[in-house]
Parts: sequence; C-alpha cells; structure tokens
Amino acid sequence: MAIRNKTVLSVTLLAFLVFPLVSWAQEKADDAEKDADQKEEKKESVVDNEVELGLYYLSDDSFRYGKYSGLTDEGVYALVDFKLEKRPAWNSGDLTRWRFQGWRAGLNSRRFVFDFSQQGKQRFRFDYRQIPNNRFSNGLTPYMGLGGDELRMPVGWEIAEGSNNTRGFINLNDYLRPYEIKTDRKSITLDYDLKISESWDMAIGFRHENRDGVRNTFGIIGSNMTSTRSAELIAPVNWQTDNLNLMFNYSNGRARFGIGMYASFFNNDDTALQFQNAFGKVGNWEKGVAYPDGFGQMALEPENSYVQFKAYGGFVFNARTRLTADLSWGTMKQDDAFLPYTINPALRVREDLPRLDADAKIDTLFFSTRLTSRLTKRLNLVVNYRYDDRDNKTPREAYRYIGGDSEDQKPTAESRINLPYSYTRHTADALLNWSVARGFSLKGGVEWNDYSRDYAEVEDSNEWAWLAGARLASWENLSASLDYRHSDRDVDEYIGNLPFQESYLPGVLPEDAFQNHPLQRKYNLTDRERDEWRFRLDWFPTREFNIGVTGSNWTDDYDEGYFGLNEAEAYSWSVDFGYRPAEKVFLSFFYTHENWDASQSNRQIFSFDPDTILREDRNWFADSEDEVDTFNFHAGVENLGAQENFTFGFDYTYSYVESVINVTGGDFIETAPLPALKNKLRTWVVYGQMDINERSAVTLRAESGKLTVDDFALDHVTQDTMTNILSLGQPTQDYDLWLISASWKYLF
Amino acid sequence: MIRARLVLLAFLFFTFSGAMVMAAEEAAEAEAEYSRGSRMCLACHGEGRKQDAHEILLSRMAVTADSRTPMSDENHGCESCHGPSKAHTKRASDGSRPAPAITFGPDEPAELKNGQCLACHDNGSRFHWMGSMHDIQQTACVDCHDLHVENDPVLAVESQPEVCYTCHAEQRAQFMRQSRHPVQAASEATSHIGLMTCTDCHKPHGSAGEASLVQNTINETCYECHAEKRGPFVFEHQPVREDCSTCHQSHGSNYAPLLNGRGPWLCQQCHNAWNHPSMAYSGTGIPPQGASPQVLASQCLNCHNQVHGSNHPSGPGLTR
Repeated sequence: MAIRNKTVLSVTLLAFLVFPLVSWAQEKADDAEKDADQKEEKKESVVDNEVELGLYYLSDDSFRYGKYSGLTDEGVYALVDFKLEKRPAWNSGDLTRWRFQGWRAGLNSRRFVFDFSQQGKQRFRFDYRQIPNNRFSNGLTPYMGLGGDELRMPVGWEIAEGSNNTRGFINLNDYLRPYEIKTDRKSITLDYDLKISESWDMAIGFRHENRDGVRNTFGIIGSNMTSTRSAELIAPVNWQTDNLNLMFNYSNGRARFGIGMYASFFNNDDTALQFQNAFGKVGNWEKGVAYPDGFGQMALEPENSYVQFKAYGGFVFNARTRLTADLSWGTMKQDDAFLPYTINPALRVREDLPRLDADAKIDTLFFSTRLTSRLTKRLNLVVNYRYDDRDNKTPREAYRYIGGDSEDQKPTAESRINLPYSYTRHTADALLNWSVARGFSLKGGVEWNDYSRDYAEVEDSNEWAWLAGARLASWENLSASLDYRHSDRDVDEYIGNLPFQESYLPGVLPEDAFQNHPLQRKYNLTDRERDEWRFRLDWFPTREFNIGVTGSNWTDDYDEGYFGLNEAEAYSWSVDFGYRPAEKVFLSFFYTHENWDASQSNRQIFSFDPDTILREDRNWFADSEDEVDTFNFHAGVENLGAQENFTFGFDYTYSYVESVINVTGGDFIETAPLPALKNKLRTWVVYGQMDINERSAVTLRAESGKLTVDDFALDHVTQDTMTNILSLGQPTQDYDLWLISASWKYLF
Repeated sequence: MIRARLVLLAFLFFTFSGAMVMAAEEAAEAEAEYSRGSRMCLACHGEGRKQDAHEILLSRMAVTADSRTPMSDENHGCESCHGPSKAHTKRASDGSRPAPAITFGPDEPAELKNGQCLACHDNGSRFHWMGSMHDIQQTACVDCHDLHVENDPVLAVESQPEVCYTCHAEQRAQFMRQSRHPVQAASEATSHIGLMTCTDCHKPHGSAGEASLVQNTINETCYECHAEKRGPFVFEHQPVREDCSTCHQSHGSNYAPLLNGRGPWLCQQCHNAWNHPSMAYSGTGIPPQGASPQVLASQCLNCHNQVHGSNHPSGPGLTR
C-alpha cells in the first residue's frame, strides 16, 4: 500500500510540476507575440494586499469551545489573517492573477489558499487546512501507554479478592489521570486546470490528509452478556488519506464528453490495539484471561483503496433537447493481514484461520443518464435514470472465532460466516414543469426506486412516488412555492432470520431459529408510506424590507403490528426578516423551530421459548421527541461619524434543544422516566471597527458564549458507575466564557 | 434550354441578393440595438451611483484580454449579458427610461436569466445543470452569484455558507446544533470560518448522483474525508455499507456523532434480538436507580464499538 501511495504521490507531484511549466513556457512564447499589440493600452496590474494582526483573549479554559476553533486554553492567541493579491487591471491585456489568503494563521484551525491563474488558460490552487477536533478532556483512565497501540494497567493495580467487576478496583482513584481525546486533521490539496485547446481541458486534483491524535473506543473481554467486561480505551489515530482526481474534458458545440479517474488510498500506521484486562476472573473465563495475565486485542481501521474510472458524455440535440450520461466503475479493496483469533496464548486454538486476510473487494458500477427537453415553449421535461451496483466479492469463510479473548475456540458448529453485502439499485424519475403564465408554474412527476440486496431480510424493495408543486415568482414583490411528495415503499417477503441463518454453517441451526424477534422490521427494509411537503413565501415590499417564511414536514408510516420504528414525523418552520431602516443601518432576524417525533415498539425476549416470544405483556414502547429552537438577531451600522469611519454591530444567537424519550411497557416491563436531554447555546457578539485612514483600521470584538448540556448518559457517571464497564467517566462539557479580540488591519 | 438557364440564373441572383439584403438589414437592426458599450453604461452606473456596477471591472468577467469575457473587444460589454439595450440609454417620450433588455431582476423568469449565463458557461461544472435540483426549483444563477463585485461571495470560502442559508433554512438551523460538521453557522461567532463549506460535499450545479453530491453516492461522498470507514471489512454492518444516512444526519444533530437518535433506542429500531437487545431501557438504567451499560456512556457502543465494520476474525459481533 505504501509503495502504491508513493508512486501516486510521485506521479502527481511530477504532473503538478511539469504541466504548469510546459504550459507557462508556451504561454511566454505566445505572450511575446501579443505584447507588441497590447503595449499601447497596457495598464498596471492591481496589487491588493490586506493584513490583519492582533490578539485573541480567551477568558476560560474550554476544550469544547476549541472543538474546531483551536481556542481551547485560557490566554492570549495571535490573530493573523491576510490576503495578498495581484490581479490584472481589466483592460491591461494581462491574464495573470494570484491570491494568497490565510485565515486564523495563529491558531491550529488555520487555512491557507494560494490561487494562481492565467485566465482562460490554466489555474493552480493550493489549499492547506488544519481542523482540530476536540472530543473531550475530562475523562480519566488508569491505563498506561496512552497514545500507543499497547495499553497496560499501572503497576500496583489491585483487585479485591474474588471480585470480577468495577467494584473490586481497590485503588482505581489513585491511578486515574486525564487525557485529551482529540484529533488534528491536516490536509493539502493541489488542483491544476489546464485548457489544452479550444475544446480540450484537463483537471488534476490531489489531496493528502494526515489525521493524528487519539479517539476513545471500548475493548471487551468475554463472550456473552454475563461474562463480558469492557473498558473504555484510548486508541491511536495515525491515519493518512491520499485522493487523486484526473479528468480530461472535451466541449465543442453540441458535444461534451470526458474521461478520467479517481483513486483513494487510506493508510493506518496502527493495525491493532492491545490492552491488558483490568478485571478479575469471571466465572466462565479460561485461566490466563483475567488480570494480570489476560490481554485483549481489537482490530483498528484497515488500510484500503478505491480506484474508479469515470466517463461522461452529453449531446445537445437542439436548443430544446439534451441528453447526458455518466459512467463510473471501480474497485474497493482491503487486504490487511488478519490478527490472530486471540492474543491470549492460554486459550486453545484448534483450527487456524481459513485465510490470512479478508481479500475484501467490492466492484462498483454506476451509470446515470438524464434527458432534458423543452417540449413546448411552456413545457419542460426532465427524465433521470440511475443504476448503482455494489458487487461485494469478499470471499465467504467460516471463522471459528474466540469470544472476546476469554475462551477456547468455539466448536466448528458455532463458526460464523461473513456476509459480504451487495446491492443493486435502480432509480428513475420523470418531471414535467409547466409555465402556466409568466412567473407562475406547476410541476408534477413520478419517481421509482428499486433495491435488490443479498444477505438481507428483504431481497427486493420497490418504491414509487409522485410529486406536485406550484411556484409563483415575483408577483407584486411576492414569491411563493409549495411542493408535495408522496412515496410508497413495498418490499418482498421479509425473512427476519435470513442473515442470521446465512451467517452459520448450513444445517447447524434449526430452520426457525432467529435472532431478532420474528415480528421485528428494520425501518430501512420494510414497507413505508411517506408524505412530504414544503412551502416558501418571500415578500419584498420595498428594497429595504423583506420577510420570508419557510416550512416543511415529513411523515413516515410503517406497517402496524410489527416491532421496530412504527412512525416518524418531522416538521420545521422558519421566519426570516431583513430591514434597512436607513442607508447605513441594517437589521436581520431569523427563527427556526424544528420538531422530530419517533415511535417504536419492541418485545422483551430472553430465548427461543415460544411462550416468551408471544407474550404481549412484554411489549414496550419508546416515544422520542426533539424540540429545537434556533434564533439569531443581527444589527449593524456602517460608515458612521463625520468622517464616516465607524462601523459597529451586534449579533445574538440562541439555540435550545430538548429531547424527551418516554419508555412505557406492559405489566412485565418495569420503567422509570428519563430526564430530558438538553442543549442550550447562547452567543452574543459586539464588534466595532474604526478606519484610521484609507489604509488602516482597528477592530475590537467581544464574544460571549455559554453552553449548557444535560445528558443522563454522561452526567453523574464516573469510571466505575457501571459494574461491568470501566469507562472514562467524562461529564458533559459546558462553558461560559468570553473571547475578546483586538486587531489592526492594514491595506497595502 | 437557354431560357431555362436564364430563369435559373435570375432565380439564383434574386435569391442571393435577397438574402444579402435581409442579412444586412438584420445586422443593421441588431447593431442598432446595442449601445456604445460599457463605458457608457458606467457613466450612470459608476461608483457612488444608486445602482452602481463599477466593481465588475475588478472581476474576471471584465478582463479584456480574455476573448471570452463580456468586456473583450469581441463582445458587447455589459450588453453581452443584459442584451441589446440602446433604448435604455435614452428617455422615452413620457420621460421614463426603458429597462435594459434583461435586468436579471426577480420578475424575469429564471430560464431567461440563466440562458444568458449558460450561453458561455454551459460546460465544466455546469454539465449537470440542466435538470438538476436547483434548475428544477427555477433557481437563477444570479440568485447565488453576484457578478458585479470583485469576489463573488458564493465562491469565497468565508461567505459561501451564508449564501446557501438564504434558501436552506433547515440546514442553517442544523449547523447550530451541538454535533455538526464545522461549517460556519449563520452568526457572527468566531470559529469555523472556512474550515468546511457546502461545496466540500455538494455540487450546486448538479451532479450525476443524488442530492447534488460530489460523488455518485452518499457513502462515496462521506468516504472522501472518512476513508477509514470504507473497508470493505470482513464483518460488515448492512446499513452502513448501503447508506450512512440510515443512522447519521450529515448537517447537524442533537446526538453526537451526528446520529439520527440516541442509543440504545436508535439501535433498537432495527435490533430486537433475544436478551439485552430486546430489553426496555428507561430511567431505571441511570443513576441513582441503576447503571445500565446500554443507556450510559456510549450505550450499545460500549461493547459493539466496531459498528462500521470489523476486520477481526473474531469480530462477528462488531465488538473487536
């Protein structure tokens, strides 16, 4: 994989060097000829540079606030933004322009873009991005070796005699220490476009990304609900991704076509994460599994590749009719060497792995075509068809697995066979748009979606939809639209135990053996009726005032009498308002309300026992409802004062989410209310800028941010709250802070 | 025979000369409708005027050395886009000023306005424009693009999301949720300017795949930045292979990481296997009443952490 990547990298870099140089040399020769003609009216190019230098001050530590911003610790940070630009005067005869722009250069959320072009001839773009992703810093773990691929318990780790859960960790608190869970994503993108001739052009793009840091995950020891113990671990993230795009395009008169490729390679410096078992012996664990001898091992994300070839073409039959088509075919591959069934030498492995790696491979084929035609002056037709095929050719094998590094190898009969899922999807739609009168149109259409899958509960599903809409454009300064869509998904026979049966050797399980309850229906694989509508209304009574209202709703209905998701509904509406009471003053406001509802039902079952399966008093129901309110108000004044050199403004944002999950059940089911999940974010910003002269200005800015989160899954949960899981125990991350910045902007 | 040749000659002569006259008339007619070019337009639409348009001279559209631009000598300046508008340069007898042929105002059909743009820009990323979602919604190019400025806001990384939010109010609200991609929210709050933009995932001019995504499918688009999820793995999770949005909301969610719902109930919408997957989890599972591993911390992922697929030969339960 590494060699392949180096080759791709070398070829790409070479291409980026060679193409611009050759092209530049050609351009120089051409330019010399043109110079004489253009000398007469040549004007100087425009140099337009801008640098903003200053300081940020963050009033409090907040890992959460710095999640993507890089402003994490209390203190002072450099504020550096800049734009260096040279562009040709419009009538200078020059075609060359470049721009080098940087945002937040003083923070680790920086971005730099360099853009060079000879207009109509070639363009080169360099883009560097750094995106921090702070997950949390308030988790605590006793594990040593953090950041690496082998985690051990600290020397002196003690477990109470006979204990096999977190209650037995005698000196847990003595060893707990914090570790920041975060990753840093750094990417470099290089794009080069070259106009080869009047009709041909080429585009090549390359992106290299490094993602470093750590993430939290869980390592388990044990093979079933009662014997399994889990520990929240810190896994290394040392990932690199290389993406390459290359396209040659032809465009001339009526015909357009292109051919190219896309390649993507993912590398991971770590293949596995080993961890020492923190727990004392559980009843059915083999010897050597418990602390201190026992270790667990999990597979980390395997290296993989995807190479795809692409072609497209289009033909303009006449001004009214056009046909386009796209074709892509490729292969996803993954052949990382397998880890052994277990890392514990004490466990008996009677049978070797059936193969050394998965030799996983998926062939992809995608085809789409679109016909657009203006049937009459007022009637437009759009017809689409897409074919999407994922043919998973990963070999199927029976794996005599070992349950959670805790037991001897399973008997052959309990081997599990991998299920390399494939699917084929056809979608088609036809839409008619009728311009009834100037500014008023109606539309209507049908859509069809067909899925064929293997190793799934349903082999084939079929969905038909019809849609209608009306649009009014600018009638008495009013624009409006209304759209409705109804779809009906119909699936083949639902065989709930098919994937379960297919994952075992033939004849091992009774024919009626199942894993999910026979009445369970997976919501993406069952009959469904969906109704959707949306509307939009915009009113511009004057140039200074506008108001808009938008709304949408969708409702999903699933077949009654089955378990799983029974009904889901979402609606949202927004109001927007903009007003300029005076030339220098502007106000804007928006409010959005969203509501999500989902109702599901299940039945508590403990075995294949028919009595258990049929007992309705074990039914339970969960209704989830999310209410989201989002509000923003902005006011600003520009060019105030005698010298018109003051600008200031105010911005207020409020977002509040309340999610309620209500679980109820039959007589057998014991439930208790759950507290609401709440998120409240409030931000307000005051800013002001004073222009000192034509070239420089000072800006002051104060931002107050407050986040409060209530989450029952994290609040009041410490490392040993769960008896069978040693967690990091991080509470929710609230903040209440100020970010103040002062900067000086200079134009030159 | 001679008469026939004379008749044919006469026919050809009249046909040819008639065609020449008609062509000359058409040319004269067309020429008559254009004004004297951009300088004349900018005399009234220059800097400081009510409807100023002078900044177009700072844009790529005005580079005269590029023969394709409206301002090149081979074209008609402002009228290359606004249409022949000589009448607009004079007042009518009633004192009013006739509008340019095409104003790109809200009362003009999108098809008319877009036709002007597509006359030159009907290639490259616009290959899929005809029949795309924005085309069907009768979005005009000028609804998103501002040509009379040096830097079109929708093409600038720092201002692009704000342009998209103008119509996409739902997504605007979703980007203010706690779990979201780092696209700058619609507020003045510092932090995410330019980290991600809408066009990192979407092609607003249309694409071959659904939702105008940059790749053919939802999953292929996600793999652009999340290639570690691509696999293929030896033990797969069926909906993951098919469609990331079965479990995730791409713009923003109340449930990290970008999930459609909270575990274990989200997982239980599909999984009702005997024993713990079928249990009713509620307030009895949280402190002080209890401490259910299915409800606390990462819920089902406390054990089934390889939910995107496992490459461990002992990982059929997606735990390793």
